[in-house]
Amino acid sequence: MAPDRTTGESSMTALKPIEIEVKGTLYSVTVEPIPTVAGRLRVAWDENEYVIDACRIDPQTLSLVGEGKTSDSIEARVVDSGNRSDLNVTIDGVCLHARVNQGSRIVSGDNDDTVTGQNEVIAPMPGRVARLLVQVGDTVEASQSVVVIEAMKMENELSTERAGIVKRILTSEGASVDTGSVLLVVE
Amino acid sequence: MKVLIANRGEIAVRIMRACRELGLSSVAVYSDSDRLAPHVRYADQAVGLHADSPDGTYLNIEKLIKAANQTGAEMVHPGYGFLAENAEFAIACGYAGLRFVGPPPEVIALMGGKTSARLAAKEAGVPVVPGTESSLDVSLAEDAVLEIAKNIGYPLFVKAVAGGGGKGMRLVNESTELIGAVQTARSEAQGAFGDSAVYLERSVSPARHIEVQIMADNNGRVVPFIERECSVQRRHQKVIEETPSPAVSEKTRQGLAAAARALAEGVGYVNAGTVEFLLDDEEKFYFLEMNTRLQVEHPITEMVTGIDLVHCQLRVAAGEALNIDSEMALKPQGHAIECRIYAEDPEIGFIPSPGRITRLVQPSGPGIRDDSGVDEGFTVPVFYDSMISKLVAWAPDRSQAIERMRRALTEYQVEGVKTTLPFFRWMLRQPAFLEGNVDTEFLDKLLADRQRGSFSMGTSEIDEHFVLAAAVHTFLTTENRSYESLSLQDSDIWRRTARLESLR
Repeated sequence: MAPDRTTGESSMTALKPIEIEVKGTLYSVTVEPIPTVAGRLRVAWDENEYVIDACRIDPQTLSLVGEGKTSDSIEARVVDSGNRSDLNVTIDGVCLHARVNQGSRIVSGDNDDTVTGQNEVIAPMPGRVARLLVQVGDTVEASQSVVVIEAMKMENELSTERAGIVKRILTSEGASVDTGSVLLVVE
Repeated sequence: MKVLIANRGEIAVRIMRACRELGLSSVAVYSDSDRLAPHVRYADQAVGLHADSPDGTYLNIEKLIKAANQTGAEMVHPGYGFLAENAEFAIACGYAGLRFVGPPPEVIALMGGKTSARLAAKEAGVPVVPGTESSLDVSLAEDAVLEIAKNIGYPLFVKAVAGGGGKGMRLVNESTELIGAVQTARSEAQGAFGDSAVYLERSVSPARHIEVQIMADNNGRVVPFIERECSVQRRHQKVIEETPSPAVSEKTRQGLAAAARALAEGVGYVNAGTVEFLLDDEEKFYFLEMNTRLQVEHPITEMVTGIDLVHCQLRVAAGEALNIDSEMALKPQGHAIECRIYAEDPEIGFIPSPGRITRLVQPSGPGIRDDSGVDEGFTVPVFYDSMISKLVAWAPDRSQAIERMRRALTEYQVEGVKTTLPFFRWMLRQPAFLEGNVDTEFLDKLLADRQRGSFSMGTSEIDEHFVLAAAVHTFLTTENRSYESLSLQDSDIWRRTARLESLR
């Protein structure tokens, strides 16, 4: 029951380059999934092109391993300051600020305001599933609370980002979950 | 045997570790905001002090003695700071039938006074910075004061007898400035300490801060240790310490050790102490002061000698004779460096940054020791010193120790509070430090001359990595993809495990 990560939907979406400013230099970067290999991204700017095996360790930690011409292994902490355009990126103790100007999404086929597609609800911290607020088949609104995680003696309500139908529930009440665990999938 | 640790933070944990190794049980004391601190959870027993201010907690003699009596503790270890050099606390422990882990109260008092400590050093034949024996007589004529100053030599300091923190202190470069400086120092001292007494002391500059650890037992045996170099200071606060000093020759080392031993023997010293010296550029040394307690930077001495100083302290306090090889104490095995990691923001003048530590990844691996007093989730309180850990690196020689420290600093991650980690990553690349070419004013000058800009800026040679990380993060966030490691996915692990099982 693994979430779909063959990234086959890439045909549905196209990305404008992401503009990234690091140390005063502007990079115009395109990122696209490689349809044939799960989990691989093609990242390119100017003359540079990388094939990256990208994994999230937790919501703010990325492990990137280059494939092909570079085999660099990079562990990066990426913390945004509330908005997605100001990122603090820390690698090996060096922290740099990155300003990001995202290309606007072009959603082919559906020009509705409602963004559709698949949405996973992921545990942002280790904890215990206190309550499930939905069942498979339920219709949920965007930002609707769907699961309550208990961590550090606090209850934290997790919500969906998108509207849709609860497709799968991958945990149960009382279960212990780790950071990054996929709890449920909305489609 | 049970030991109450009248302190908090990393030093409390450090002492409790020694207790556990020696089979002693430990009692922590804690303020309200330290309820969840590691030292409370590590201890075998803990007593709440029901307040937060230092006066109501770790400085409160009455509450501490009560906590010791109530738990049946037989010894009290004061750590450093707080009541560690308070003779009254040592006396109060004695009255309560508790063994104070430190020297006798009268020795604490003797070495605590600036002029009495200087006198004790002189009597022991230890060189002191040339200066007046006692305070300048107010009735002295200007000519007489000028004559005294001429004999001491310029540049010199006018210093308040009751002084501290740079108040009532004036640097005088030539005779024409002297009389005015004496007057301002007197009025400043009167205002700050209610005591206008001042004395004159030659200014040793440039100077290194070199100190000698000693251990002494109740039988009068004194063992001096290899010197520590503590010249990297920011506003008179030590920032980096190392041992051995890159500037001390074997001959000077023997001289320093002999001087420290003579002073300790002369005053009837017992337990751990440190004799601080100024070392000038001709390798002449002068007594500065004596700290009658365990020092913050004691771990570097432990790393190069293999001797556990807190074990020694507890054994001596229990009445045992010192059982250490004095030759080993003076012969370093390799080199050790310590960085004091503070919850302070180096980018804005090192202002304290209390708050909750949301993420903590501590360095480890060969030669690394992190004496920490916090953990992930702990809130660094606003009430006390903001030091969160002491990072120590050991290696066979100085340059390898520096490289190892640099490596450990890349591993260290703290989020939620600002720390001095970026400053140290910068500091350990400064050419003067790498050459060991430092004095007590070096860091303040370096920071003043430094170009503006972040300590962590411009230090990476691989900007592309940051671009990659920012791009991939943005892509995954926008696309709402998780991309955990494919091989780490739960279902995959189960599937693979099942497959392996079926192959058995």
